[in-house]
Amino acid sequence: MKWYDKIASTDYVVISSRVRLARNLEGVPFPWRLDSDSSKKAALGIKQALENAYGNTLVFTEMNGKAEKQVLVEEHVISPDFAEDSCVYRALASNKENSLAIMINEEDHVRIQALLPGLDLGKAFEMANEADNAIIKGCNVAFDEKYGFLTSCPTNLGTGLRASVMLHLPALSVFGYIKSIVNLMNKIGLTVRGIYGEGSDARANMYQLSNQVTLGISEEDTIKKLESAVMQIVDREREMRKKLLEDTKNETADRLWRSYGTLKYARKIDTAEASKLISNVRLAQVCGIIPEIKDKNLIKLLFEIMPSHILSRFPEAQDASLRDKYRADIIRQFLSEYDGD
Amino acid sequence: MICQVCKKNNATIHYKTNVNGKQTELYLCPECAEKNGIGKKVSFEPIDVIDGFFGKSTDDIFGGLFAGMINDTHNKSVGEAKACPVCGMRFSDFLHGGKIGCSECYNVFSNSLGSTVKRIHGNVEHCGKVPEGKKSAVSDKKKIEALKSKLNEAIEKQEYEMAAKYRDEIREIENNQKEGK
Repeated sequence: MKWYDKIASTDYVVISSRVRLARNLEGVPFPWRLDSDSSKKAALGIKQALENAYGNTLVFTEMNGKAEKQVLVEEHVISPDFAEDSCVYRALASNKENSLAIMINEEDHVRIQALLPGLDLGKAFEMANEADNAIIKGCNVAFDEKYGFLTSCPTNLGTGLRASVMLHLPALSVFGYIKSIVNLMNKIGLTVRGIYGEGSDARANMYQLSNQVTLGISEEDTIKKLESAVMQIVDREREMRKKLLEDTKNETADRLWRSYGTLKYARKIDTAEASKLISNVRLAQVCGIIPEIKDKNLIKLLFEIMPSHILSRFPEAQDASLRDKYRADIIRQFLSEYDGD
Repeated sequence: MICQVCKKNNATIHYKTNVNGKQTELYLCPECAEKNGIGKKVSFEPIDVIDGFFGKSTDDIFGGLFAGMINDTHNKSVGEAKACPVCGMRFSDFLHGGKIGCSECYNVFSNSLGSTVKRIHGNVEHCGKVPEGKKSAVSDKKKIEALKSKLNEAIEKQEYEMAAKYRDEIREIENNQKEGK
């Protein structure tokens, strides 16, 4: 069971909610200034504090040398930096679904992340806060009255909280509204980024919206502010989905069915093209152009077609060309039971 | 650049893969690329796939930015040749890399960092969660600060009786803290 298994297959604009808390130990150099032994010592203290609170419900994994780290990166469980081999001792404490994942010795000694399907920032904060309390109870966490939680990078001072929401915005993308949303959100202290890196807006039309400011605003207000911006974007996206059907129904239907056709019959397909087409099929389902595929989760498919996911299932697929074949196979199999056409 | 396979033609295709974090790069001519099954789309496939979710490393983004945030005269005035006793970091390390060395650095370099923090966040103070165990320390610290300012005021006004009263109150809180530890 993965954190994204329960994502609703259609209708929802919000794919997932994430809360991250950055914490450090008082009087211990931050991870980038630790060597192998001292970083291990710090990590074991944090591990003990978590074990005291969670018993064996959290699994501890040493990161250096661990295989398939990129799978966790693709699933947003760990950061790309954390996946790199390092002389610093790094460990991950996570629950079964990876919805709670605590990176030990990333940029900060502790990076707590709670990741849930749909719009559920309150619950995600609750989960992260519980882990935070466990660490505060067992360790001497660096805190300053004025600066709040002390962090390796001063941009995270204060609450150390980064709340973010992943949004699927195909209709707003089609109408070219993304740039103006980015500008507007910047003005109110929020950031919009593509989830597949810079310049990836044409891919799966997935965006993440997160808070920039961490000092001088409480956790509750940070989350409220983000939620209210999310609700407004969701409304606009729904309006645009309607408009798409009213104004350009035939063109839209043609384009989306073509996306479906390519996915259903392609024999080789790369990640970028597949992500874009899956996004189109999701839009087609939301708009009622293509009937929903029952019990099939297109978001889950988006994860399953990522390179490292394919490699973990088919270790022989070292070559990108071969992965493209497997990717097409996975997608065809996914769509095989479907006879919407 | 010459094709790395035939070593004759000009390389016009940059083939880059990232498999489980292992990066491979090849510069190829179109013929060799085709022979090896490297098409236009395939060649650029798995690059930078997810990094947007966690954002870029702060090293890249903020290293130079912080340096620009603090003017030279200020830099010189703080000197900051001193090193943090806990982690050994100097302020110049922060200007270079954009990362703080440890929690104690915030005390050691409080002047220089104070202005950096103001520029990032504005003139604000933390108003969120206070960890259990730090709550009394936080309120004590606030009480002491308030009393110290009253003490100074009393001294200025030459109200020495009041000043002595404030001094005793401060001592009492500090003694309680020591006993508490």
